[in-house]
Amino acid sequence: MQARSPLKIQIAVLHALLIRELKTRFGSYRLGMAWAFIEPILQIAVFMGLFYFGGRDSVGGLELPLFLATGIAPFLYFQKVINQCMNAVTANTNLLIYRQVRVFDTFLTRFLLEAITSFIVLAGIITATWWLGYEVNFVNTLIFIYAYILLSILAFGLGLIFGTVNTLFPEIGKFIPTLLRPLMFISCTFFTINDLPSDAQSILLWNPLIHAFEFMRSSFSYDYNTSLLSLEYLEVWALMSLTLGLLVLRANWRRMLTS
Amino acid sequence: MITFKNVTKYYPTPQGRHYILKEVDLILPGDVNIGVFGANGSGKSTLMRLLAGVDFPNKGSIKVEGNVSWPLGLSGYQGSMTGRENAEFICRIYGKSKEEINEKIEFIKAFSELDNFFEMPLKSYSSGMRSKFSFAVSMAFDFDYYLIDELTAVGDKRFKEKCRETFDAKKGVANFLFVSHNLNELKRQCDIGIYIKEGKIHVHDSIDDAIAAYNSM
Repeated sequence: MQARSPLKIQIAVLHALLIRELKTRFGSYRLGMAWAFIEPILQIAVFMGLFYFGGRDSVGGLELPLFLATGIAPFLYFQKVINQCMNAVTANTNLLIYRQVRVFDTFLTRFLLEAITSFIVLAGIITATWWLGYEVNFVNTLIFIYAYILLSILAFGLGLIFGTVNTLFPEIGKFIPTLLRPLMFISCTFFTINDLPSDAQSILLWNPLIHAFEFMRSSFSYDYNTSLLSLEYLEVWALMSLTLGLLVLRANWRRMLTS
Repeated sequence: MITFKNVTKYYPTPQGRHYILKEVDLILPGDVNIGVFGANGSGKSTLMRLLAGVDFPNKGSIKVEGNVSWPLGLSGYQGSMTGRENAEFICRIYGKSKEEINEKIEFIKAFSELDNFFEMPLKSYSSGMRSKFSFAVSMAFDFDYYLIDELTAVGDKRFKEKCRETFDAKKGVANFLFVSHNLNELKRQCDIGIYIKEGKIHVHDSIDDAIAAYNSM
């Protein structure tokens, strides 16, 4: 057998793990991939109903379904990355018997799969809104993609941290989903930061997710107010979370092999 | 050749450190087949994992020359995936091309004699089918060192005969490290014997001596 380069091994392992995750995630349900669409669409529909009774059909210059899609879908993505990373190691313990498969690979695979799926879902929902006759204008695609990437890095870093904690200390890990649940209501998923009183704004703006979602929305309208937001703040969060996540993993991955 | 340099391995327990190996310095020759004894929980499987590079000593280093297999046993498979999917997974992480994968899959399917069960999730297998499957997968790949962890041939006489033949064929080009509770099996397959006791690895240059020493323990 010839020695392969580390890069080749890495690619081979990611490929194998991706197929394994796809099979166990989507393969076992008859609706398969459709589930990835159903959850955000249902949530968007519920909020649309609420807004409809409230008599609003646009927020911050964006039509309602587009406004909700750019908050709810990315939030579900963020949540899913963390949930998937929490169990990345325990779900793959059997496969860590092969020396090619390292703990980091299990995290990376789950993250990549979620990043790709969720991006397709988000793009699909936005296309569907446009197809249904709502107004969808891309005025700054780059900021949309950049905010999505920063959100991804932030989620992956936190996923590494929470995943490590959950693998080594499952009792503490049980609290993490409970702590994350209220996040949906303080992350501007179905409202905009601009509509809030200034006291609330100054507190909520500490939440990096708001900056990600609001910047993504701003890419659909020239008039979207971004004066309160800071891309630098989001960048620092993303960078810190990934750095800390990688450090935590590096310090602990060997302990996770036998847990 | 397997080289242990000042190797210490322990597991933390609420009662303090549980030592498997304590400052072990040892060189095992590379041209013999080695049988590994030891009571349950003495660290045989840990030793296999250390040699396979999927667990690490707390101190010191272990070097194995050549290509080492993963610890070939009944674990390492995903219960929710079919036999074929599991086999494909292993082929992929070993970087096999499409043609090679097809070739290996055909070999595994034929060798394991699972027929339709090859397309069923592993969790639906009986324990006998599981060992047949594991055995077929293990023999499908070429290594310099095969780490065999309680992977005993099961099934009818014919299947056992087939396993023995495959072992013998591999023996010419590769070496084996066996963990087994079946002393007769070890006697037939191995040249030298080692056992782990009180943190040390004891080596006997003939398998019969090792068995005698083990039995008198």
